[in-house]
Amino acid sequence: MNDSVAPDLRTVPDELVTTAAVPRHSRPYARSTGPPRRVNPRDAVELQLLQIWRDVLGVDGIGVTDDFFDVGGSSVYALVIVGLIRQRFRRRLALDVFFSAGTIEALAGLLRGGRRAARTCVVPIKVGGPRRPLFAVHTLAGTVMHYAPLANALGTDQPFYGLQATGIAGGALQRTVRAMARRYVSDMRAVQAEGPYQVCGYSAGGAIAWEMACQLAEAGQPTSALILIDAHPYSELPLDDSYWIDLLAHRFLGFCREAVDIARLPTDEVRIASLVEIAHRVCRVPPDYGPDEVRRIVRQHMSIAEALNVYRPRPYRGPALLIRTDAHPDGPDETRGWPAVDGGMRVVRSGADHFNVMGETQAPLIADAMRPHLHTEP
Amino acid sequence: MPAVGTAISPSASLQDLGVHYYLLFRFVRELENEFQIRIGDADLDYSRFDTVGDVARLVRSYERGDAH
Repeated sequence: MNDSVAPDLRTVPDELVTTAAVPRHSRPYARSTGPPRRVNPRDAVELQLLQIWRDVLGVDGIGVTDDFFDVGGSSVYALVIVGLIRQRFRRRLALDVFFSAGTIEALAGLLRGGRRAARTCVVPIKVGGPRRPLFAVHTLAGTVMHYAPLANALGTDQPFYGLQATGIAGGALQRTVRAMARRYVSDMRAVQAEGPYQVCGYSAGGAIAWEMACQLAEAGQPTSALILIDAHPYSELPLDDSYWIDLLAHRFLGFCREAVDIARLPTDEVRIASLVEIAHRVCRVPPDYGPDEVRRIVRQHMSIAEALNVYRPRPYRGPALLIRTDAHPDGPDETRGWPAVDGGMRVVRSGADHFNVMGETQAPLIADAMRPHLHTEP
Repeated sequence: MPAVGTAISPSASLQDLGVHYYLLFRFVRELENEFQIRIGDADLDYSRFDTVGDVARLVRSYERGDAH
């Protein structure tokens, strides 16, 4: 077997998960001939706007290119949404500007304009509710979009915050898992000053969530729920640009002839040019994304991959839950080698696979598995 | 990943051998280079790449020229 197909993806690239429910063997984005498909959020700004629209309009299944009035909007709802945008983004939008934008995609473009580096890595995915907040750590992509179905499945009473990578938030890249965890703990404590905390991480986010729980324990702050969703303690991720460029193409297209053909292109620059064209064609990136954005996304992946490859999780004493999706156990250690002290880790198996476990179909089942471990009190 | 030298049978799962779903398109590229074939879109389906035997049958069908 050629080396290029051999790396052991102990931590698999989570950015490949879409927020839409996609059958395992389908090619979700190739040659669609049906009615216009829903366009899911592509970054944290679109995700937060979508949650606001969803909460205010009480409608599921909104896409970021849907027109406000087509999904049940009215001038009263617009007033409420403009108020929430002012609260969450600290930006004032005039009502006529809101109406002329008309879609989440266009509103996000306005809000991104002139944006400086975010002051926090926290992305409020679901705000409000009486329960203790749950904080979910980004995956290899550095983003938190794939948590939206889970946040919704956990119900309206469960506040849910994402923690996105500093590079995605517009700041400098963090180079180690410990540095990432330190930053996210600090930002999380700006939302919830004192523990007990609830932290979860899917795929690559698991190791970072683990390190956060260790650092919180050192600070005398308990973590009442540490939940790892199909996460591995050790990673051996490829560190070449070509690999990540090809994977992004696969993410956009699925397993099809065109994805294979991109992997055959001679140089990274040619691949990136193709990737940009495809990304726009399948609506997986905001309209202003170009080659520089793709390079930035690749750098972000590589940076997190490098950090994970050298991270060695420390022993942790506290309640932890591992939700596994694999049908074939890695070995006799059901906990995959997570260094939980005194048998503090429980393991639950899911019938999903790594890539659909966070989709809309599986999210309610994962939420059910998580719920007994989450606290009902603030 | 299996240990080096482990016998690989036709029923061996590609996933168990470390060819993850998201490496399949690169795997296909290598198959095409090695066997000088071009696999059609209709055959680029995860279900056709479950086991080593599946892949062998697919490659043979292209070598015989009776594939899509």
